[in-house]
Amino acid sequence: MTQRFPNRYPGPGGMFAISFVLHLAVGLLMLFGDLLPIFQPQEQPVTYVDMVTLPVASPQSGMPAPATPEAPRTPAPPAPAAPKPPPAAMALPASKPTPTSKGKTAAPSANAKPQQTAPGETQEDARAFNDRIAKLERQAEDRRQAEVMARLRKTARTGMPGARGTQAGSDYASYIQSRLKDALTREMAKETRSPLLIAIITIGADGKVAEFRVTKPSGDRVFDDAVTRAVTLAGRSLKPPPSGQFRYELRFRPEEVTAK
Amino acid sequence: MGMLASTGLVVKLVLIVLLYFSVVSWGIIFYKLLQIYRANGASERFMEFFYKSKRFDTIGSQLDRFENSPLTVLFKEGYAELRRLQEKVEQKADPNVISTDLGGIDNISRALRRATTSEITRLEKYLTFLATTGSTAPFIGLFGTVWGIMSAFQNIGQSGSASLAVVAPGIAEALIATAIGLVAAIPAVMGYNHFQQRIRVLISEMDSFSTEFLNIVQRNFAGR
Repeated sequence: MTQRFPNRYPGPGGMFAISFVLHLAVGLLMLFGDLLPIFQPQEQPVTYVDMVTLPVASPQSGMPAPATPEAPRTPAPPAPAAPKPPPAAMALPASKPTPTSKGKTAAPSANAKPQQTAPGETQEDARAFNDRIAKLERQAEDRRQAEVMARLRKTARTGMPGARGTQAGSDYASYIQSRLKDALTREMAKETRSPLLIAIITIGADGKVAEFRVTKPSGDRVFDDAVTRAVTLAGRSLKPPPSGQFRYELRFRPEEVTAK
Repeated sequence: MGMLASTGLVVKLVLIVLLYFSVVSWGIIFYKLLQIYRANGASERFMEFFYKSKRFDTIGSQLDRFENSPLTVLFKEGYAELRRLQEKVEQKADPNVISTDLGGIDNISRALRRATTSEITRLEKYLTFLATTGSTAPFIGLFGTVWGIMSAFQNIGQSGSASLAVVAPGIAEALIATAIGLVAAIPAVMGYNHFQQRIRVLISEMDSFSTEFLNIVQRNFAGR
């Protein structure tokens, strides 16, 4: 029989105990040392920020209104109920907001004292305030849309000198180029540096794209697709050619659409 | 704590299993470290003593000094077998001569081989658990993760929102199972490979010692 000497060091059982204690220590260290990541989705506070001229509902979070004389005349915003009030608990003005003198928009300060309101008046005031906010928002949106339209009119590309590019002129080829270039600018996508695609476009008498035949692909599949999309996009709103069917060969580059 | 507490029952069970694997693996690693390193040290000292000594009975009386070495077990077994053979041939003219015709050397060789096998078994004991941990713990962790992600997607479907705040915590809680699985498996695999290599060295030393022991016996005790 094989004989063994007794071990003088701890056997497996002792080592398991040591290992357990070690794991316990590491576990406690991780738990109480904040080594484990904690996932607590943070609630984003709802803030109302005036992007144009509206008063700031939450002075701490919002953008203060400009205090320059050129600033639009707007009514003074209601004083907040607390330095950092939630929107639901926002304090409302006891009376109608008064326009500030000299166009100076009064940005509510964090130190402003909350106005005392009677409990019965709160709901009525809140509705009035909301109406006023909605009205101001509508006005701001109208103004913004008007500005955008004006800008578009100024920057609209023209098919021929003096024209706005939105209607067929005597030079129908230029009109088509202009429309296609606008559409290509919108749909632009490319992988190569300067792809060139040559194609023949045929506009039917009804103004629809009767045929679009690529005679020489650019080799850039993405650009070819962008050109196809641009032709489809532009083809939706083309004026009919003045002399029946119109056939034209074009060179598509990322920066321009020219006649071959 | 909150992250672990919010995991599902299956993921918790997986984590408990993995924790058990990790605790036992580390226990085995500590035990084997101590056992193999002591065996190495004692073997080196024993071999030095063995080559310096002139007589087997002197070595036999000093074996307690090298108790952790597997070579001492081999020597003890071989020497015991040698003594038994000597007792059997005492009535012969020369008591120090073992007849090879009776298979005396083979007997000692078999005794040494048996002791070697026994020592290898002792040295490799529990290593299977390390191999099992290394190969299965990541899969157990992966199972927990897959289950956790399934639960997370169910919760996402019920909440009706797919925002990052809804998706991320569930996935992160599920991934912790894979992380713990890897934490359990990596040391186990490293320990297993390391101990295998050290045990191979010890086996080679035992083979060398057996050959040396048989040579000495044949040279000094066996007649003709």
